[in-house]
Amino acid sequence: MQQIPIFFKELSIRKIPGFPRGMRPYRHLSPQINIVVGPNASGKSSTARLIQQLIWRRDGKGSEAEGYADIGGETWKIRMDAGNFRTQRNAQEDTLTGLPSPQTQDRYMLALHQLVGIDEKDLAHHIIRESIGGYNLDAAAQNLGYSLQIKPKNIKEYKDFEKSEQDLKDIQRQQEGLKKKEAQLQELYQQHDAAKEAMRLKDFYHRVIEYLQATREKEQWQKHYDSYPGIMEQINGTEYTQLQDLEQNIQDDQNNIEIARRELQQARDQLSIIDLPEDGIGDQVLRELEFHTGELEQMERNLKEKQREIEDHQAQVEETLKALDPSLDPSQWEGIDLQGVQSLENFLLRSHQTISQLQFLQARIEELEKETGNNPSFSSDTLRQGIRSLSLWLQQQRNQKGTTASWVLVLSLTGAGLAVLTYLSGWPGLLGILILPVLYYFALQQRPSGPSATRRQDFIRTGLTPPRQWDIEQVIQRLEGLARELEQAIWQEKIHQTLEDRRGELEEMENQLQEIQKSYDQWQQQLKALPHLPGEDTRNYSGLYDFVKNLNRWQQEYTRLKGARADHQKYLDHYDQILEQIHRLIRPYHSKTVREAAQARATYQSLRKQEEDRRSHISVIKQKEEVIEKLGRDMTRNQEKLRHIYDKLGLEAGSKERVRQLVEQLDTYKEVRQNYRDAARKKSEKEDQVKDHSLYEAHKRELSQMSLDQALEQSRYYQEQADKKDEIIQRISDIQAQINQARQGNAMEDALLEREKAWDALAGLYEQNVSAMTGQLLVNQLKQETREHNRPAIFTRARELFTQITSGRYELMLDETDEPAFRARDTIWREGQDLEELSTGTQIQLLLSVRLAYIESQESALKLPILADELLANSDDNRAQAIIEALMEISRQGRQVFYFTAQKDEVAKWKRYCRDAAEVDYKIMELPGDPENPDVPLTQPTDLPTIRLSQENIPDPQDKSRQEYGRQLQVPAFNLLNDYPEQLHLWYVLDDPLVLYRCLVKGLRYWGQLESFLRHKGRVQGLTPRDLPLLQDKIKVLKRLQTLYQQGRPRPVDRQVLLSSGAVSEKFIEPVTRLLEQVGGNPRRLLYHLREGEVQGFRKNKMKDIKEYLLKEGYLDEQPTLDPDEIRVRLAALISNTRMEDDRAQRFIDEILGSQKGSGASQKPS
Amino acid sequence: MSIKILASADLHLGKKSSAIEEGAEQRSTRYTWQRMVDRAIEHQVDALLLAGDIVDQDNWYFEAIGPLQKGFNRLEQAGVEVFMIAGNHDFDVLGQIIRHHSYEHVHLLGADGSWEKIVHPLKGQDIQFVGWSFTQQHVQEDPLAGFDQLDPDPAALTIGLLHGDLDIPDSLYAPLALSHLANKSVDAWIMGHIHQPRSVKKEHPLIAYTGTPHALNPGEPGMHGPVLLTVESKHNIQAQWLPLSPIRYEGLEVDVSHTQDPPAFREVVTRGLWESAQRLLPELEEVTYLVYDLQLVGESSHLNKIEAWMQEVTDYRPELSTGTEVSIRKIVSQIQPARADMRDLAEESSPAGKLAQTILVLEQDESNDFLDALTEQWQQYLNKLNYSSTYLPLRQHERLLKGTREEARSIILNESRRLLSMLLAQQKQ
Repeated sequence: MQQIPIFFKELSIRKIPGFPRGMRPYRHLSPQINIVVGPNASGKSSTARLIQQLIWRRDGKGSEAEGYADIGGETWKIRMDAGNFRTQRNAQEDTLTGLPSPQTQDRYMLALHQLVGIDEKDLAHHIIRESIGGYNLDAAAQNLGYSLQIKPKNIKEYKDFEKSEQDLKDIQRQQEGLKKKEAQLQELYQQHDAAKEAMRLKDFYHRVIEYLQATREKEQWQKHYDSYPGIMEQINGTEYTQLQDLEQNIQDDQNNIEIARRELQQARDQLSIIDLPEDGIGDQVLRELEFHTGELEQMERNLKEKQREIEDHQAQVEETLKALDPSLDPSQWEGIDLQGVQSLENFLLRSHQTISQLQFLQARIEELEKETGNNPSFSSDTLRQGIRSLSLWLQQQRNQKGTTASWVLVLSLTGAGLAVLTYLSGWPGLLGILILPVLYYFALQQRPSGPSATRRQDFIRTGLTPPRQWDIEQVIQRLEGLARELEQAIWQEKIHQTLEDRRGELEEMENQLQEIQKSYDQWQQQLKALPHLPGEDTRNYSGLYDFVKNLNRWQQEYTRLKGARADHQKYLDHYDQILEQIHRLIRPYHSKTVREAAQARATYQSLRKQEEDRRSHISVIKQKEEVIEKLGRDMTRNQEKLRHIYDKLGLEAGSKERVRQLVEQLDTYKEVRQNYRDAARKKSEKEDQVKDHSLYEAHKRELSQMSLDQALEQSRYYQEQADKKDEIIQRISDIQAQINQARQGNAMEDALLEREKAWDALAGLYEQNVSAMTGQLLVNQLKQETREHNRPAIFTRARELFTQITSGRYELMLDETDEPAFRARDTIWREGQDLEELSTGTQIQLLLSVRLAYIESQESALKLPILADELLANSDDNRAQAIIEALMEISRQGRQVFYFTAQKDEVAKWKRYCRDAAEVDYKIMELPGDPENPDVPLTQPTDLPTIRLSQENIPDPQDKSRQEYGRQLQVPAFNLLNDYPEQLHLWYVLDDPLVLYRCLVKGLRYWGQLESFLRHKGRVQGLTPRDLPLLQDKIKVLKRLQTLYQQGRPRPVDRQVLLSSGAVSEKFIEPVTRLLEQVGGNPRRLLYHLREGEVQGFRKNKMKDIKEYLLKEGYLDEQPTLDPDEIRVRLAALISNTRMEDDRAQRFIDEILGSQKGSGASQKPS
Repeated sequence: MSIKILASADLHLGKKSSAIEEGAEQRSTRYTWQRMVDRAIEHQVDALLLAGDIVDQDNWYFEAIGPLQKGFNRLEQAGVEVFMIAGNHDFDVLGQIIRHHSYEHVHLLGADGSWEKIVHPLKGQDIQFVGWSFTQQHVQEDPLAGFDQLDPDPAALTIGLLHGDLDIPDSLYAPLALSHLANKSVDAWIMGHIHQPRSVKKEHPLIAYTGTPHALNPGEPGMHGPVLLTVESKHNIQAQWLPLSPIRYEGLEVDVSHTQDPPAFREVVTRGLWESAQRLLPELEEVTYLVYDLQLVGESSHLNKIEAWMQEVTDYRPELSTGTEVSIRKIVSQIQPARADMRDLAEESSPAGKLAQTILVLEQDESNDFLDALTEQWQQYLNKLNYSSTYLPLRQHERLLKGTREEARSIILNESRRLLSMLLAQQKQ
């Protein structure tokens, strides 16, 4: 089938990664050779990539472009907008079909390094690989572990299985063994029962043995026992001792009786000596006698005491009498009684008081008499009458003349006079004061009612001296005089009255004094001594007091003296009575008279002693008589006992030796008897035990005939049988323990599980083996398939192409086997050559031929353009010629060729060869170095712009620091979300400002430019290709930083992205775009606001579509953003694998991150 | 008052679950037996039914017997009657246990290979328990053939115990026909032998495989536990499974399409796992270990890398609110290369194109010469593999592929996808 070639006629690139503002459009492209020349980062690779994207309508994310192509004479427009494609044929929507698989698209990209980097010896393989589309089946098979080999048995999985199987079998064997043992248990139980029966029999015969032994023992002791006399049973063992003791007692009794008789006689003799009546002295008599003796002794002491007391009182009486009056004869003076003393004291006190009062009155009367002067001329009544008359007179005067100031004065003076009067005369004066207001009233109210002469006469009739003149002033003056006189008159009257009263009292006192004197005389007569009453000097009263006090003392002492004398006499009387009592008591036993207490005491003691002796002798006599009697009885009783012992033993009295012999045998006898009895009891017990045994009934018949030896034999036999029981029990117990252990254990479970695991592992191995085998068979089959179907056609075509490309110089020779061998035949020299012998140019031509042949084999309907990238770089002329010829030949085959190069000399070579080949249409297009200046139209080479190898307007850093120089350059920020590392300004990459300056001068401003420059062996002073790896490390760090930072963060979208999603129709594109602008292009916020219904009518399923599109295109990332620490760790991990020092890397990162602040509005470089 | 009966089968005492960490007591089926006895006592059930294979034939000597007897003793103390039959695993064990320990409350039905009926009063009502036991490991006859000789009282409430394969006529394990079962005068059939719980028939007569109450391996996924029967009348018997197995195996498909890097891959897989576990949460109260076999599906252009990414996921072991520990036992990739490429790619005459063709052919269940030839070769090589001494143990236990066409196509499809991914990855280098 003839393929129709696609010729691109125009390419319009509005936006492409790295060229946000697009590129200059490519117009009037050649259908054959298109040479695109431009410096690095000028858009050559982007253009190549775009062509493929347009053809296969794939990827194109972030790109907006369209191309016009001629396909079979028809114009096709292919539009690409952010991953969305539209194709139109002749302005009608249509679909471009007949394209080979997208997987083959890389085959259309020819890169020099792919072709020239091949080891010549490996050329054949490359040819073969090229012939099958470049796939390396062997490498894939190796990676996937494909193989037809069967895993050997010595592999781990098999060994593990064998071990698990063996372990399981071991455990099974153990458990089977245990199972067999379990089966033996029944038999062991039977044996156990038999042993238990033997145990019983052994026990039975053991009892029989004991019984027979006991019988034998009893018989032996019985014989011994019977050998003793019967009398032994009567002996208790003390008989001989008793005999000895009794005989001794009898002897002792006889001796004691003799001694007692002698003592009895002695007592009787002593009793007879005592001179007392037979009955002696009664205890009552002795007690009374002792009592009275004591009484008498006490009375003697009392008498002596009382006598001393009388003497003391006698002395006191005499002494007090002397104190009263030394002249008194005590013997004659009787004194008075105590009551009399009190009366005398009262009398003396009253006398003293009376005398003192009398003296006081006398003194008072004398004082009053001295105060009474001349008697006044007028009585107070007269004076009062005079005052009244004068006052009335004055009143009348006023009534006549009215009240005057002098009248007032009169009243005032009268008031003052009355006040004085009141003071002196008491309440009468007060009456005057009461009268005064009345007078005043009269003075104010009354009119004169009579002649003042009347009042004058009234005054004169009093006899008082009238005023000198009867005028008011004199009258008043006279009134004042009268008032003073009245005062004097009242005072004298009062003294006189008091004097009269006192004189009366004095008279009365003198009468009382006379009475006192009489009483005194009486007392004088009675007492014969009495002190004088006080006369004028009342201070003598103390003498009276002392007298009475001494009299009182005498009286007391005298009374005591009399009492003492009376007591003494009373004691004397009693003393005599006691003596009489004593005499009465002793008279029957004693002839002497007792006169004093000492004699009484001696008599009493003598009588008592005699009585005690008497009683003692009588007691001894009685006691001895009793002793003699008792000893006699004892002796008789012992003699009877003696006889009883002999009688009991049936011996004659006195057979004492025989008794001794029998007693000595008694212990042995008792022992024999006890042994005999024990043996008999034991035999009985053993017999009972035998009979009690459960086997007795079954064996009693044989027992009657059984000897001890036979029994022993039987016992031994059954003991042996029974001894096996423990062993059997132990065996049963062991087996049971093992069974229990096995029942509780899980060894088998574990072993089964282990085998299961081993099986699984082996099965896993088997699956791997099947997988590897299947894969290998698949690979083999594919190889065969491609060998059979692909290779022949491709090689045939490659041979044709090779011959054509080499202009018939070479032919490809193929030796078809499993691993085909190639040779080339030089048609000129007519000889074959190995591929290694071909020049590199020819080798490249050969590879190109195979590649093209494969491409052609995959192309069904369309013939697509070839994109070649700097194939001629560093090629020698021969090789360049070979390549150019090959490409020209390809173009001649009707295939459009794009050749991209940065090398001007390559363009020259092309020009040279194309000129020679007139039939080849070619076009050279030069890309500007500045991708931001796309407006220069592409023209023929004659219109090529001037290439400036150096920039002139770059400021020299001079001695500026790197930072200062950066500020001067206004280095653009790097946007981590949107920018590509190739767009990084060199300031970030280069440390030395001078080197940076040199780069900038060479037009190298961004990393992409410098990287290409250095890769192509470009030189900048201070920077060599050797520095490239270090710089690349920086970019690696930047790329990683970008990747890590971008994770989970949305990237801004624009209207075009929305359109490209296909989810926003024309109806909604405007409101959604406005919303997008409001949210600053943030797709996440856009979706949020859409969900909130901010664009009315916009459907939810469309939101979902947008979201899916944005997710797919990477605008949205639903992964969680990495926290700074995580970014730091991952970045540090990368840095640790680069050549960068940490501080250098840190500064680089800081500068990149620092520039982010301004990245929203990217600063443009100057 | 209703009668409560707990029923189970296929406990396989003496075995342990695989793919669980060492030392966990819950691995052992004896643990579940003890829990089942606990439940019977807690629920105060009137009877416990055991439909065979209670003891595993590989461990019938002692390790299964001890726990079994212990459980019987506890049930005796609690007054719970036990009716059981022997299965193909314990045909020669249960009889021995009964003989050695004359349990009055444990009844082994049909121990001599013929049908047996025991009428026992439960809650004052006479219940007919009928059953048949295996007397040898393999029984190829339908045991129901002898059922009619039993002549049960059709008026009495009857519960049958039976162990065998349903509707597998050539089965070595008592092949049974559903139609026969349903026709007998039995009101509820409690079945053993099939380990997956299965309610065969809900309406009268009720027929249910209780399934093993203890999941032993990933081949026994899903809920496992005994069945609680609530018997109201002959025609009203309700069955309710009690999720009691401490181990639960689950298979899970996770679509990893659109995962472009390891973190995204891990996120998708672990989220899928977590969400699956959360959905199961109501049934996980008794589950200590939830073990997943993951199958990755979807389309990806990173097929060649995903095998490495898978290794990063296996350490994901979350713990659920029930205390259940979740783990991943195995991850299998069924991921396909990006679907959109396949048709175009199939046009290529390259190996990748051929593989794409092969994948498409296999997916469409078609064939071509290439595939036929490959299948034939595969079968030959598999035969060699199967007869190699390395895999003899697997062969002896029939754990090898049989080499069927279906197996061949499935494996070839998977390898084609892997190989294609690898080849396509070469193009990107």
